[in-house]
Parts: sequence; structure tokens; C-alpha cells
Amino acid sequence: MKLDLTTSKALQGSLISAESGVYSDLLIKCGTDEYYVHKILLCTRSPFFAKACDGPFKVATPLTTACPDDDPEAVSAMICYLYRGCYPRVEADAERPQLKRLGDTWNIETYGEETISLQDEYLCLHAKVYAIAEKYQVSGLKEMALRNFSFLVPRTISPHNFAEASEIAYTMTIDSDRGLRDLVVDVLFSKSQFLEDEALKKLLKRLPDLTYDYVMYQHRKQEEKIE
Amino acid sequence: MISGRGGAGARAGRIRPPRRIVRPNGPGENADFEACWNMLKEALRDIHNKNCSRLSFEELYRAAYKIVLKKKGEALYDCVKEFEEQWFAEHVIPKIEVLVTKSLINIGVDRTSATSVNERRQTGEKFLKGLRDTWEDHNMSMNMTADILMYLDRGYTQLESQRVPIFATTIALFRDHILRSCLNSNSRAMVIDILISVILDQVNMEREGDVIDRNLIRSCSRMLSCLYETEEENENDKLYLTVFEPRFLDNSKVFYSAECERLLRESDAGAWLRHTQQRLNEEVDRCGTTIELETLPKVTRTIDQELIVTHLSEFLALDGSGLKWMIDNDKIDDLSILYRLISRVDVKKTALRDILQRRVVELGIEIENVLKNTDFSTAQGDGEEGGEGEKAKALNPVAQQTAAAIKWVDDVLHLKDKFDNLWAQCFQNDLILQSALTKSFSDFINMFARSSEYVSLFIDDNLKRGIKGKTEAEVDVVLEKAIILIRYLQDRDLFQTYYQRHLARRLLHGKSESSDVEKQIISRMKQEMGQQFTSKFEGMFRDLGTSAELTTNYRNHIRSVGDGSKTIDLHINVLTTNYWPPEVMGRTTQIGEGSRVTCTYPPEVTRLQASFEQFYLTDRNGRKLTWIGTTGSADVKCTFPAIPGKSGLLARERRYEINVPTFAMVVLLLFNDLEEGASLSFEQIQDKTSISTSDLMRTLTAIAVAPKSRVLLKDPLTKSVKAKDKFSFNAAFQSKTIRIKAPIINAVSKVEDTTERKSTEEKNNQTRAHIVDAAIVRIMKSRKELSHSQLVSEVLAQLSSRFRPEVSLVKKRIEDLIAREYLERPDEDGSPSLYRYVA
Repeated sequence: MKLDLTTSKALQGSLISAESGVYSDLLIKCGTDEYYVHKILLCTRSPFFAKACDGPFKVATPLTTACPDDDPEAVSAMICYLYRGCYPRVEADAERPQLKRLGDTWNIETYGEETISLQDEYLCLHAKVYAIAEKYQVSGLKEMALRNFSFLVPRTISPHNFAEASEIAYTMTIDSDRGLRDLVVDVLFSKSQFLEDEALKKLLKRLPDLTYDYVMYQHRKQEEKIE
Repeated sequence: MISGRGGAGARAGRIRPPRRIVRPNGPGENADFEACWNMLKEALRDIHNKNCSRLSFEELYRAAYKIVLKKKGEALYDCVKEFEEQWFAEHVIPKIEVLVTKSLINIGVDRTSATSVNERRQTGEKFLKGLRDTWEDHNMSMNMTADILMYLDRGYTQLESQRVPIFATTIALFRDHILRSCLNSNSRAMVIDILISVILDQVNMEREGDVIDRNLIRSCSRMLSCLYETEEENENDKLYLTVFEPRFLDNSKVFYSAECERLLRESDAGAWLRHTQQRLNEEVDRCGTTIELETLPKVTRTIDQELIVTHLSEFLALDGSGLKWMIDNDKIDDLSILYRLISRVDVKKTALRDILQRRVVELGIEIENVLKNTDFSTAQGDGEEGGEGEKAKALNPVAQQTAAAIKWVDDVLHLKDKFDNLWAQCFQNDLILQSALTKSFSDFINMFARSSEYVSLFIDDNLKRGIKGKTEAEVDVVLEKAIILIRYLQDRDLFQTYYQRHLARRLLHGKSESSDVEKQIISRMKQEMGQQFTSKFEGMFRDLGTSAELTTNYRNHIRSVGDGSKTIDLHINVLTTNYWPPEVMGRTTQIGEGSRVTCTYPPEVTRLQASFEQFYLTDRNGRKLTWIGTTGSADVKCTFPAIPGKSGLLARERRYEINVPTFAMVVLLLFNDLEEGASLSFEQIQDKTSISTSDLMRTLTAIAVAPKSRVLLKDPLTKSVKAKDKFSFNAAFQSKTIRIKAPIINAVSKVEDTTERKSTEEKNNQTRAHIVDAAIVRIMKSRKELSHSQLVSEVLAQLSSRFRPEVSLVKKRIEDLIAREYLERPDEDGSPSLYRYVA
């Protein structure tokens, strides 16, 4: 069932005004950033926040939870997602069209005027969001990040960005989580010119998992060809 | 750094470009693990010590996350397990060890030991409490541990097929190190065995009336529900189900089996019922509050088996409190409980049904026996008075028979009411029992040879007298009763014969109280038994209707053609032979004196007959009218002369109008021509009238013996008419009323004696033979070939609505039909009992 426009707008409106911090009952600190948020939104979508706020453990007053290790970009994107259903945060003064509906996602069509090179910059963000979504088990966010990542990664033109994103995929997610890793290996194989880049060479030295995955992938491809 | 198509700087302000990441970690991963694990270890310790409020969940979660991300999940898993095992050994097991005392172990071994119930309860409770507290601590700690290690399960355990969630592993420590270990060197019993023994001991205490701590026991049973046989945590492998429940059920079985034996020895059936009912309720309660609800069906099954099934028949058979006693004393409550209990164990309720059926038949036979005894005593009294005055007193046994019939019907209906009442109030309108009861009623009613006759008599009596002054509703009740009884009758053709006979009498002698009710009952019979059953009765009503019309028409006809001379007013009933009983129609040849309808009518009557026949046949060709003197009556005006020398009434001339049977009229007319004082002998009268001996005897009884209508004098003056008696005109006859009705002394008595009944049955059997013949031919015509047993069963099925023929009768009819070449036995091998229809 799709929401009709009015309802969608009303819901979106109330979430956006909530994002300003009214009625908030939880403070999230991350580095220098502070977010006044609502437990009802966080705890219902993430078992981590549910346990943190509701469990028998210490709860600081005022309700504060800190995310010292987390990337501030990723945290910001996560909270934006919880309130708006999309990320990254678009500044309020933006003249470009607002998202029409709840659930419209960040994609090339909406932000189509941006050059692909700008979008390229976001490759890392998507990888980080993917990782944080896994860490805090935020329902829906991981899938959205993966969608975005898989859209951008074949189109990337910057080996540098690609190398950074790959590093995140191979260090911030666990081995068995193949979502980003498979995409990375696949793209690296098809854009083998990236291997010329210094950044990637260093990366391959640093990340044996990536090197291993790449070699195995190449091997499989050759087998297929022979057949 | 950001390169866009023109104006990139301006746009960059709108969407903040992502910041560069800081490389999260450098070298020294092992150091990281140690740091994280130490933090977690401290946390685990705090959790056990209930200091968790100072722990930050995020930090701990992140520590575990970090370890898993660094592929150290396995190490963490093992560390946690090791830590918990160690903690358990150091802090938990000692606490329990203290509780496992010698006296505690004895509870499981021997309930009858010297310790008092109270002591036992206290020891048990102390142990249970200790175990419960430890369990609750452990359970809570493990839940919190699992919370902070949430990512361990997600990022490691779930991906390793041989690993189970950390919670399952740690919670199982309790099972392995406490429940399944033997914590006392003096005993080899495992803690779980002791635990269950203690719980069962407490449950037994409660069953015996003590108050126990139900919540405590529930906590322990919950514990067993939370633990599983293996770490796989299969729902069917809950310790509760695998270990506790079987022992609980065994224990219940032993307990209730002993209890049932005791009840059987010491109590009556009523107490047993109530007790069992209460035990069932108690177990419902127990499963709801003390142990788990899933045990309920199983434990009630145990009760069903031990308390109900095992000794059911013995309890039901108990003298002075068993089922028979309950039925006889209308123990509504007891029977209701009994029904509920039996329904639990047997959907067919065989035990209850059998005894009910037997009791119905017994009570039915009792009714019959009481009746027989009553009959016997009155018949004796009758015999003393009897002797000479047989005929005059003959009315008495008839009335008594009617009374007996009514008593029988009343008793049967009473019995039916009683069982209907029990059925509705105690047996929840159970269909199986209803059909069983119906069958038993039908059985004993049909065992009673005179049931058909008595039912008909009951209706007869009600229609003649019973319904006088009753409201419509009351009449309806009577009708309903009659129909109920008819429904039970198997030999409906026999009932039909009796009813036809009784109805004929009521109609011809105008004795029926209400023709409306008559028609009502017939229409009800039609509903119950079908058109065929009532067609004769309806025909009788139709005959009377047309006859009334005929009488009027004839009267008009005479008036128009008459010459004004004195005529005899004729009221005629033309009866169609088939509708009316053969006795009425004079078709009986039982007495062997030829047709009873013969009579030499005096000339004036003969003329009248001729005149009517002529009138009747003008419209209806080819009919034959037979005059039946036995059933008609005549109004005769008699003049008695004044007798000189007498005063009062006798001094005047007296005119009376006497209603006498037709034959009596014929006899009386003989005396018109006789000289005063002359007399006629019995033989002379018979010569002149040619009325059969028995009819003439009855006729003369009516006008020469019956005190109120004694217009003839008989010599000698006895109470019965015999051959060679002499009769003369009773000139001194007097009566207080002008209209006098001579009693009808009829051969067709209301109640048959033995020989008559035999002949009725014989006739009935003849009729049945024809019906059976017809049925056989009908079946064979459509089936062509049929084996003997098939044919017999089909015949029985076809005739079941009318009567149940003896199998021997059917056999005989088949033989007969073969002889008459309707059927043949094909001479083929292997089919000795086959019949074939001969076209």
C-alpha cells in the first residue's frame, strides 16, 4: 500500500520537525556533534539502542549515549535516515527540490545534476553507513546503503575513492559479510587499470583478505573462460 | 578536491562533502583484544555481583563488536565460556552443595520415613528456595551477558554451524554442573532427581490437603522448562518434558490408583463421583498455578484412567449407591457428574448406556409384573361373585382390563418421563443415550404381548371418557402421549387391527367424545406412520359422512313419494367392507354357526329394506347391500297397560321409548302378536327369527335380564340366558324415564380373552403372510436374483415400518412362493441359497 501524498507529507513533516530536537529524550554525542533524538524512533529500529536504553545497564543522565569510535559522517547519516528515510543530510537552504516522498532514496536521478565525480565522493560514505548499519543493526539502512554503493561503485572514476571505500569494506565489516566485498572485487577486476594506482597497490599490501579475494576471483574467471 | 561542472563551490555548500576517514586502528591487535576482553571480564564479574548499574552497555557492546570485527570471535566465545565455568565452580556450586543434605535426599527415597510432614516440607522448601534463587541469579546474569555479547552471536556464532548462541552455552552450565551432578558424597542421586522428588513430595502434600508454596514450585518447574536436554534447545527436549513430566505422571498414577482403591473400599459411588470431579478441578488448578499448563491433558488422562476407567464398572455396580440406585432415586447431580466423567473416557458411554438400558427393561418388566399381580387378585374376587351371573358381571373384567391398560400406559409414560427428565438434565441430551433409551423402551414394550391392544385401549378410553371437560392443551398432551407409545410399537399392523375395532365401536355406537379429537389423532398417526396406516380409519369417517347424507336424502325421498301413512324412520350407515373390522361386518366365522348377519326380519322391516335398497341402487349400480343386525339399534315405542289393583305408576297406562339393538327389536315385535300372558321359549324365538344362538343370547340378555330395560320376563329368573328358557311380556314394567336405552351386549368385547387374542393373532398372521408375499415378489421382480440372506434382510427392511415378521414366516412364504412358481432355485453349483424370479 502506498501512502497518499497528503499523508506522506504530514508524516514527513512531523518527522522533520522532530529532527529539530523537540520532545527528544536521548542525546547522542559523537565527537563534537550532538544529536537530540527520540528513543521511540531509535529503539524500535535497532536492538542495540533498545538494549542500551532499556536494559539493566547504566544509563547516564541526561540520557546520553556516546559513539566515540564511530565516524561522525556515518552517525549523522544514520540519524538522518531514521528521521527522513534517506541520507545524506541535505542542508536546509538547498534550493534543489526536496524529496517528494517518504522513502525516496538518494539516487542519481534525484541528484542527477551533480557530476558523477561529486557523487564519487560519496562512495566512502555509503560504505561507512553500511558498516554502521550492521554494527547497530538498524533495520533497512544496510540495504539502502548497499543499493547506493552498488549503483555508484561500477561508475567510479577515482581509484583513490575506490581504494578508500574498499578499505572500509574490508576493515569495518566482518569477513562473512559479503555485501560490499563482492562488489569491490568485481569492480576491481573489471577496472584493472586501477591496479596501476599507487593507493590501490598500498591497499593490496595492507589487506591480505582483499588480495586473496581478488586472486581467487581472477582464478574463477579463468576457469570459466576455459570452459 | 571536489571537482564539478562549474560552480562546484557553491553547490558544495548544499551537500556537505564527506570528510576523510581516520584510519581506525593501527598495529597491536592483540593488545586490543586483551584490553577489550579485560573490560568484558570485569563486566561479567560485575553482572554476577549485581553491580551492573555501573556498566555502560554501549562500551561493552562496542568492545565485543570490535573483537568480532577483528576475527577474534572464537577466542571471545571460549574466554566467556571458560570464565563462566570457573565462576560457576567457585561461587555457585558450593551454595547448592550446602543445601543437599541427607534428610533431603531421603525425601526422594522414602516418604514414610520417620520425619514428619512438616519437617519434610520445610527441608524441601529450603532446598527449592535455594535452588530457585541460584537459578534466577544465573538466568538473569546470563541474559545480561547475552545482551552485551549480542554482536558475538550475530557476527560469529550464527555463522559457525557447530556453535550455539552464547546464552544456550552458559545457561546450560546450570544443567550440567548442578542438576546433572551429584553434589553429596553420601548419595548417588543427581540434583535434578532430588529436585523432582521434592516437588512431587510437595504436590502430594497438597493433594492430601496441606498448603504449599505454589509459586516456589512454579519457579522450579519454569526452570526445568527453560533448560533443554542439549544446547540445540529443541522445544521437545525441555527438561520439563523429558524428565519432570514423566515422573510427575507416574507419581500421579500411583497416587490416584491407590486413592481409587481406597474409595472403592471405603466409600460409595456418589462420594467417588464427587471426589473424582474435585480431583480433576484440582489438577486444572495445579497445572495453571503450580506446574505447566501443557501437562494438563496428560495428567487428566491419568485421572481418567486411574480414577474413572479402572474401577468404573465396580462403582456403577455398587449396591445402594451405584448407577441403579441413582436412577431409581433420581440423583440428578450424581448422574450429571457421572455423565461428564464417562464422556471423558468413552465417547460411546458404553458402561452408562448398558446399565441404563438394562434398567429400563427391568422397570418395564416390573410394570408388567405389577399389572399381572393386580389382575390376578381382582380376577379371583370376580370368580367368587360369578357363577350364575356371568353375563351381568361380564362388564366388570372388561372395565378392569381397561383400567389395567390405562395403568400400564400411565406407568410406561411415567417411566418415559422419568428417563426423559434424566436425559435432559443429566445427560446433556446425548444422542447416543437417546437412541439407546428409545431402543430399550421399544424392547420392553414389544416384549409385552398386549402392548398394541393396551395402547389402543388407552386411546379408546380417553376418547370415550378421558377427554371430557379437558382443555385443548390437555387433550394435546394426551394425544402426544398416545403417539409416543405408538412410535415404540413394532407390530403396528396388530395395533392397526385393534384400533380399527375400537374406532368402529366408538363411531357406530356414538360413543366418541369428540370427532375433532378423533380426526386429530388420526392425522397425527398419518404423520408418524404414513398414509397407508390410516387409510382405513379415514375410510370409516368417510362412510359415516356419506351415510348421514344418504339418510337425509332417503328421508326426503320417502316424504315425497309417501302416502302419508305411518313409516319407520330409518337411519342408515352404509359401511364399505374393507374399511371396517371383519367382526362388525359379520365376516367372522369363528363361532362356526355360519354368518351372524342372518335374521328373519318382520315384514314391515323387510319392506323398509326393500324400499331403501331400491332407492340406493338407483344411483349406484352393481353394489350389494348386506344388512347387519348386530351393530344397529332401533327406537321402539312400547305401551304397557294399566294394571288393575295397583297404585302409583302401575295404575296408569305407561308409554316408553326404548332404544334396543336391532335384533332385540325383531324379538320384541314377536310379542306384539302374542296373547296376553303367553310365552315363547328360546327355541321358538330362534325358529321365528333365525338369529344365531350366541347373538340371540346376548339380545335376550339385554331385554330380559338387564334390570333397567327388562321388558320381557324370563322363566326361570336367573341371570343368564340358556336354551329352553321361556320369555313373556313384562306387563308390569316400569321406569322413571321415558326414554330407556337397553345395554348393548356385544360379542366384540373391548378386551379380548386368551382364545380371542389367539384368533386375532392368527388372523393377523394370515394378513402378514400376504404382505410378506407381496414384499418378496416386489423385491425379486426388481432384483431378479438374490441370495437367501439378502432376500430375508431386504424383506425385514421393507416391512420394518409396519411390523417385524418372524424369519421363519419369511422362510415359509419363500417356500410357498417357490411352490406356486413365482420363484425358483437355480440348480447351479456353489449357489445353494440363491433364488431367481420366475417371470
